[in-house]
Amino acid sequence: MRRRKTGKTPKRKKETDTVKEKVARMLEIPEEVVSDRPKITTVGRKEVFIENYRGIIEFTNEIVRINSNYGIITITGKNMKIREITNEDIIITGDIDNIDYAV
Amino acid sequence: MFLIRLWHYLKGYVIIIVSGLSAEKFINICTRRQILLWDIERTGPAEVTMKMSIRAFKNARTAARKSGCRVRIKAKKGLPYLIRKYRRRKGFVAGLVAFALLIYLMTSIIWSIEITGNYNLDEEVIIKQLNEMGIFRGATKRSINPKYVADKLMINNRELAWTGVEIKGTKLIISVKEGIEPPPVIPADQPCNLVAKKDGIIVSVRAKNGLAKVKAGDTVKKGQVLISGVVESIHPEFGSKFVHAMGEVLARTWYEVKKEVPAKKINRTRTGLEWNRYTVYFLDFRVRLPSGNNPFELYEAKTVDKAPVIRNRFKLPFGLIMEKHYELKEEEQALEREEARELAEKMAMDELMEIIPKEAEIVDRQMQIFTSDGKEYLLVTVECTENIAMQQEIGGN
Repeated sequence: MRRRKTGKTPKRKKETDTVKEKVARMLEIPEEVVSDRPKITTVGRKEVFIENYRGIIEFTNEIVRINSNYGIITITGKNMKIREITNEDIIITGDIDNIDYAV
Repeated sequence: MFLIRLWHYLKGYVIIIVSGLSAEKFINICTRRQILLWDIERTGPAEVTMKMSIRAFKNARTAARKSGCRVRIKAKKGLPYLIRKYRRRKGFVAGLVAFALLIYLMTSIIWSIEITGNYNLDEEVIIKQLNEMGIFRGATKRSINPKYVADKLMINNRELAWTGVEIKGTKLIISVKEGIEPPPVIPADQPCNLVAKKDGIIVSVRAKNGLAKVKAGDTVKKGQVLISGVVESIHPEFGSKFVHAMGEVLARTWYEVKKEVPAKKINRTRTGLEWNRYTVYFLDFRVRLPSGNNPFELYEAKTVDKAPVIRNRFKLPFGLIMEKHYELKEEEQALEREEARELAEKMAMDELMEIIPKEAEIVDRQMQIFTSDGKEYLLVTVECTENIAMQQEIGGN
C-alpha cells in the first residue's frame, strides 16, 4: 500500500480517465467506487459530506481545508464543526457559505 | 443518528481536549489508525475538543506524541463509567437485584381468582374444586395448566356447557357458561297424553298425533287431558292403541295482580354526611382499622377496593377496602291520585311480567280500581294466548 504523507499538499493530478475508470465505465460499475476522486454531497446549507478525502489541513470555526487527490477543498462558513470523521469520509456541519477547490 | 449515539453511550466514550498548534495532524493520525472521532469543535486558538471511544483513547496517546499535541480528558461518559461508579455501592446493587427478583416472584403468582358466568353453580363449589387441583391464591402460575383445569371443571360439573381458563397477569379468570338443563322429556316412542298446564279457554287445537279431547271454546282446568294418547278404534272389538300425543293447544289465560294504591311515597336522599371504615388486607387476612361505630341509623353502604393494580393486569394481593357509609334521610311525600295510580300500575305490571311465561302473547289488559276497608286497590288483569299443552305419561288405565 502506498503510504500517504499528511500535511503536505500532494501533486495535483490531471483529471484524465485512468485505465481503472475506463474499465469501470465499460462494466457499468459506479465510477466513485473505483476512482480516487472526491465525492462531495451537501444537504441544504448545514451539512457537507465528503468521501475519498486524504486528510484535513486546517480546521477552525470559519474555515475547513481538506486535502484530496485533485486539490484542496476549502469550505468557508460560520460555527463549523466536524460531526464525524473516519478514514473514508468526513461530515462537516455549520452555516456553510462556500465550497471550492482552491489553487 | 440516535442509534449511533446510543451505541456510543453503551460502549462509553471520552470527551478530550487536544491542545497544540497542529490539532489537525492529530485528527489525521487518528483517522489513519481507524479511530472514529465525532463532534470535533474548535474551542480556542490552539485547542480542539472532540469525542472518542474509550478503547481508541489508548492509541490516542501515541498519536498525540507524534503530532506534538497535549491531550487531556474533559469528561468520561457512558455506561461503563456508570457501572464502575455503582459497582462499589454493594447495597444499591443488592437492592436492585432484590427488587427485580421480588417483582418477578410477585408477578409469577396467582393473586386473585375471578369466576364469571355462573348463575346456578356456586362460586364456592368451583373454588373448592380448584383447591383440590392445587390452585389457590398464592399458587404459582407455572403450576397451572389452563387446559387441564378447564377439562377437569367440565368433567366435575355436568351443568357447565363451556369453561374457559385464562391467566391474565396475576389474575386467574375462569369463565363458565352454564347449559340449560333440558326439561324431562318423555321419549318419542313412549305413549303419553297432553294435559293442561293451567286453566283457560281453548282457542285452537292442533293435534299432530293422538286424539283431541277438547275443541275451541271449551273451558279447561289444570290437569285436564287435552290430546289423548289413547286412540280408540271405531270398532270396539279392536280395542285401543297407545300413541305419543303431540300437538299445540292454544288457550286464553288470565293473570291478575292486586296492588294497593299508595297514598304516599317515601323518598330516600343522602344527607351529605359520610363515614368511612377502612380495612387493610393481605390475601384473606383482614385487619379492620379502628374508626369508631357507625353513627348513622339509616344509611347506604358502598365498598371500594383500593388494591394496587398494575396496568389493569397485575393485581397485588394486598390493599385497602373502604366501606363508605352515606347517611340517608327519609321524606314522606303525599301523592296525587293520578300519580299514585300510575305507580301502582307500574308495580303491578312489573310483577305480572315476572309471572307470565315468555312465550305467552299478551292480548288484552284491564284495570279496575276498587275500595275496601278504606283503602284503594288496583286490580290489573292481563289476558294472554299461550300453548298450555304439557306431556304426561298415561297413568293407571
